[in-house]
Amino acid sequence: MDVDKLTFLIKRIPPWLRSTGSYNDIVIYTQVSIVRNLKKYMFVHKLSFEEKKHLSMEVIEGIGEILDKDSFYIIDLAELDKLDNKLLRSLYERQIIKKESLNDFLGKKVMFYVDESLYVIINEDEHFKIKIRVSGFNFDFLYKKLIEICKSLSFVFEFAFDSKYGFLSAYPQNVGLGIFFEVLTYIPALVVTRKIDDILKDFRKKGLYPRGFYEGNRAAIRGDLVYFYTYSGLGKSEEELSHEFKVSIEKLIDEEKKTRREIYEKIPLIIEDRVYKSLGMLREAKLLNMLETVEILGGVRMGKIFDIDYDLPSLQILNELLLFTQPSHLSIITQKDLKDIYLEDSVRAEFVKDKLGV
Amino acid sequence: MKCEICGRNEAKYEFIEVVNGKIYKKHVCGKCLSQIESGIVKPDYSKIKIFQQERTECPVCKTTMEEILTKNKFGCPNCYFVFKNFAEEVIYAFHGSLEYKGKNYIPSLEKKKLWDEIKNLKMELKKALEAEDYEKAAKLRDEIKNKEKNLWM
Repeated sequence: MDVDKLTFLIKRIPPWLRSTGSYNDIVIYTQVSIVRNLKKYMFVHKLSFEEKKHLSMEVIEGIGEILDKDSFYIIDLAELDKLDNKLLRSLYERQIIKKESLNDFLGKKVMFYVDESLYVIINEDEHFKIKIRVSGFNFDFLYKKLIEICKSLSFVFEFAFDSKYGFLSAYPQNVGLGIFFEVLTYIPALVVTRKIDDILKDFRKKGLYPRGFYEGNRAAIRGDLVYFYTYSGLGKSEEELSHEFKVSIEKLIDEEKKTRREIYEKIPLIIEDRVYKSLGMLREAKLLNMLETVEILGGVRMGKIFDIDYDLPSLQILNELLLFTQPSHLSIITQKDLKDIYLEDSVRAEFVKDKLGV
Repeated sequence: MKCEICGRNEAKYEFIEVVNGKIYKKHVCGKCLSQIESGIVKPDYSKIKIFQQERTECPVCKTTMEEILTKNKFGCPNCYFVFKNFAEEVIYAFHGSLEYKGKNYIPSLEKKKLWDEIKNLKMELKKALEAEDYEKAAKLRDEIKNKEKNLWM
């Protein structure tokens, strides 16, 4: 496991944060997960270390047959923890592994594709989970890739599959299609007008659930960023699920666009106030914690979206900052050992000010 | 008012769920709401007694009903058939349906053979490129392309 190479990759902005996708002023990235378990093994939590090792070798071999064998690094989480705990944490910050895996990592591996268009996580909750991520809302491209990979997988592996329930999992909520969509959206207009409340109710009926960006409180929306993810795997085909998801998010995009126009026409002061307060706080801050950073970045992003008269950096830099201000990424990129919280917060403040040219 | 799931904390959120085409509103506390979102189902408490009485154990993975109820997970694919009633209960609670409507991904023997042929050709292609035999590589590439067209038809 080449720590230097991985460090180099982590310092790089992943493609799904580049603001190249469609509707990237509202959708930051879109992801689809494929969850699969092999037929001849018990589910992950029942496997011995030896069995997990065996399984991961089988999975890596099989995936290598479908998706270019030479363009990924195999990361053994236990080994990474020993070599460089910060890099392990950065995988969590990059939304590749779950928080539990930071402490419980025996037998878990990640196939880290160099172009970061996808990741394969082995032995976490499921035998393996493929996460395919694209910038913005390039949904058709994502869906096409999803189906290609799903079809190819069945040539290489024999899955725990039942004609009645579909793909099986230790978790009944993951049974069925084994396909889950997710988007990270930036919806300041819908949040400030509280229109988001009705949309959340509507989405819940359609099986779309929200999650806040800042983990402190799942139910809270911070920095006007919200994740939406699909939940159900039964009663719908792949086309139906994806179509419903696409239509719902497109509707969200429309509502947000419309509401942005409305606010800016009727009460531009709300927008300007938010933007300038954020910039003011940023200019004067000596310490910035994650929560403050997320909120400030939301305010600055608003300035960029509404073209407030100020020399603001690109959306890509704002996206970059959402990731690089997180503790482990911050430490790796600034090459500083952020031992205590005050050091971390002061380095973060400097870093953000520098990147935003404030 | 008190949370309708745990009965302990103050219900601050309204959770809307669709069961059997009907819409039910539940007033829940934050903790229960996040558990619903993350998919930890709390089975109907009156039914737990009945399920716990099931002394069966899955012959493949040795998981018992009690273990499933405490861990909220099944042990192996076979568990879904050993504990069929409970499985259906929980699956329906999560998905609102018991029917898989996705594609049948299991390939026919013919297509499986085609896949293996393509795999071998790809290995040969790699060798040809390494040996700088570009004429052979071009031929192999065309053959692969053709076979792949048939595969995905």
